[in-house]
Amino acid sequence: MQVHIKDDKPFIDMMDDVLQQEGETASWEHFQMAYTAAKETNIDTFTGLVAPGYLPHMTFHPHQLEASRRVVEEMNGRAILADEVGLGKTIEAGLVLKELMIRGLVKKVLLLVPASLVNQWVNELNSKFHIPAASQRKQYVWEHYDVIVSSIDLAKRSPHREIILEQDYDFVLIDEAHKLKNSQTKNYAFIQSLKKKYCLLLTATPVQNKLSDIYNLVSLLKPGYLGSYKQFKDTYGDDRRDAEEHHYLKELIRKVMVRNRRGETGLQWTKRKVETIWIDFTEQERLVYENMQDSTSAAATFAKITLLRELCSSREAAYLSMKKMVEENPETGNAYLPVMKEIEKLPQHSKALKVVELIKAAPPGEKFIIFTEYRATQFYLQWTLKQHDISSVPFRGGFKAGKKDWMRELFEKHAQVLIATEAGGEGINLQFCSNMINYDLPWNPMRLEQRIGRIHRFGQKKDVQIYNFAVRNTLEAHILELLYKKINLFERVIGNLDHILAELQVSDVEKEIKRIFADSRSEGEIKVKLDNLTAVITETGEQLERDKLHG
Amino acid sequence: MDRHTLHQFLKKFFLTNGCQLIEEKEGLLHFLLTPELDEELMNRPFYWRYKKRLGQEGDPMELTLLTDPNETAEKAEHIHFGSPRLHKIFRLIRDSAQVARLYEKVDTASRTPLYPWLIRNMSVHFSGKRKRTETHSVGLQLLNGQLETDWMENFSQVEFKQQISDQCYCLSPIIRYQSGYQRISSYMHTYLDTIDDSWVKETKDTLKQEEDLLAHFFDQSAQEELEEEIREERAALYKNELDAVHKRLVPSIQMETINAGIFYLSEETARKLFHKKEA
Repeated sequence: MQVHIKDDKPFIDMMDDVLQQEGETASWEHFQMAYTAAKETNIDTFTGLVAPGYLPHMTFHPHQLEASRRVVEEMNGRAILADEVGLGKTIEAGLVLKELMIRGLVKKVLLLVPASLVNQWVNELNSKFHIPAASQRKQYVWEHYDVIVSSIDLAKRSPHREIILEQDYDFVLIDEAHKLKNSQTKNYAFIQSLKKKYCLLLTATPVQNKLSDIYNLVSLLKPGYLGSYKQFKDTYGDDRRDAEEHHYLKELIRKVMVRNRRGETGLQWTKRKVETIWIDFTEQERLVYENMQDSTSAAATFAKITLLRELCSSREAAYLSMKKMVEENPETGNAYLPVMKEIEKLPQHSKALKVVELIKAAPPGEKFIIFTEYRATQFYLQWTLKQHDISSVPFRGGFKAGKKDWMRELFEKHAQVLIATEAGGEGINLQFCSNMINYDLPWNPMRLEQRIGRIHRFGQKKDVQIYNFAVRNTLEAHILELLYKKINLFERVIGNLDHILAELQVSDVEKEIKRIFADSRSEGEIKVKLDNLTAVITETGEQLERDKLHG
Repeated sequence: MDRHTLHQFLKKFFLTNGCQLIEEKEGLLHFLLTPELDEELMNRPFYWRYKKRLGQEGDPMELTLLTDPNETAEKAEHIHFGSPRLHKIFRLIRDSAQVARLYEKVDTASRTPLYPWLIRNMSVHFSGKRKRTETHSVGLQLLNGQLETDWMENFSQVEFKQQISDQCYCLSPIIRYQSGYQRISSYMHTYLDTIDDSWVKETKDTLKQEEDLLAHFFDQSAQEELEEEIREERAALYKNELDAVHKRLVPSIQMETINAGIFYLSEETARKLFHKKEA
């Protein structure tokens, strides 16, 4: 065999030392058990994934297993994982890492992810994959832990940078890797100079604007694979719309990139049924709403819009905001205190009563998730449901992981309703429930998609019923009618919504919409502006569909 | 390892390490640990450090393990293949049983000679584009050089003791165990020559391809007139990438000894077991 064979020479010297001393050595039982332990952990085959067998608590979807297998076997552990949102890139990456670790190919690992996701990565690697990952907080961690999760911004700063560049990493992972599309940036150079045996780049949008985006990503993984930059440009140009023309390029890229699309996963996605529940304010409520709307007093326009939104949700939400504003800025008291007096007098919120009515009308035990934007509304709804003998549990993003799991379990086993605030939208899967009430709507389509994604995902067996609550003739009505219905978000899964928003360079949709409301002088103007926004979102989506790198 | 085997394995591990079995039922094991195992397994170094500083004996914890995934119990943890706890236990076992000197348990009234055997258990790691590991157990009789494979498997039912049985006596080895160890290595080399090595060629082909790509990429850029500093940077990058390629793609075989020992064995048992194997 034309290959270097390394023998275990130190062992015999050690053995010699032990046997020279006349003391007792290992017992037969322990000697046998040590052999069994080694034999059981040795993997006697080059091919196939063994990691799933180590993770009996996890259920992997076929496309995830196949993606991980391809990365390990065919791509030799250097790949771009570019599944569409929601298909489980993180799971695939975890599986690849676990496989390489079990096979003894990887020990030292660095994962660079957005700062907001560091803890989630650490938790998932530990709980789902039994990979002892630590988050980088203190300097010493770099050298003392084998698996580190950090944000790239932290990692590239001194003194971390110097320490990291000295390490020999077996495996480096970059989440949201499309941020590295520009090879002239400091981040790019930093990643390029890391010592890395295996490397995964995760992104849902491998080609964002220019064809050179993909060139730069691939060059991080396999320099030279797509030729030099000049050759690449000369051959393919830089318009991503041309990508379709270059079958050869597509083939090349397919060898370093895994991209699953929802439509191709072979999954039967259950349907989304959407129903709008219109609510009429009582006369008393409407009066308060209109007074507030018409007030031209000290209240800043932005603040006013927030208050109107809150009033559509609950008296408590609006009241608490006003109270806080007055406390922080007593001059606003003139404007707000009279309104607060009026709010105090309001009876139950019409919308909350409608929720009770809807749940009471459902078959007994039918579970519901209610999403609201406001903590105050969450408390109020919990109280209201209790008054009507409906059991509920609260859920917030701020809960610790253990509490989240506990609440989820309470909901699954004992409660009929889970009331979640927006922050609770991420990080738990609730596919055992198929009814969702959007008690109030977020003004960012991405966040709405995430809400729906909690229940409309793998494992959901029933059609998903979505109820959108909106009070007639309010801001809510505009958002529902003019934004969400137009982009058809409820019925279809917009796989590349995040991509569309990135393309539009609308980093904060919510602010954008607030500005529309604040700057418009009439209903008509609001309508026109929202129409323009939705038209652009829809068109960009269609454009992107056409430009997709692979068909 | 199925879960019944795992159950028995764990039970044996804790019992032979002196732990007290408090409760056992189908799929559940409940032990009172020894201070030593508590320190190794329970992750509370501060507790033990303080206790020692105070000169006190610590109270070891109880541990309940569920080998049946469907079982539940209070303060219990599921243990399965791949759980960190089990791998910690595997590690402990391997570290504590690297070398043995053992004597077959023989019930006899007459003087019985015991023959010395060197037993060497090995993991053989094949690293190429991918990796696999074979497990080998080879025994060498240290008087006549007789070599037997699958030694552990064949002798799993034989009883060995740390003390020699009455009436038995050991024969002195003619082959030193250092050279015995070497003979087993030579045997392994011969074996490795006989098995499929297409993975080596595949790996070398891929290695060549990737080296060529890298050379091409970094050469192209060097042609442009670059400043000294940038050229050095590129050279460093090239070296980095080349190192990574070599780490992934230079094929190798590594023999790692799991454990080894001198086993004294009666002629009768040896004959019986190897005869059975041939039959």
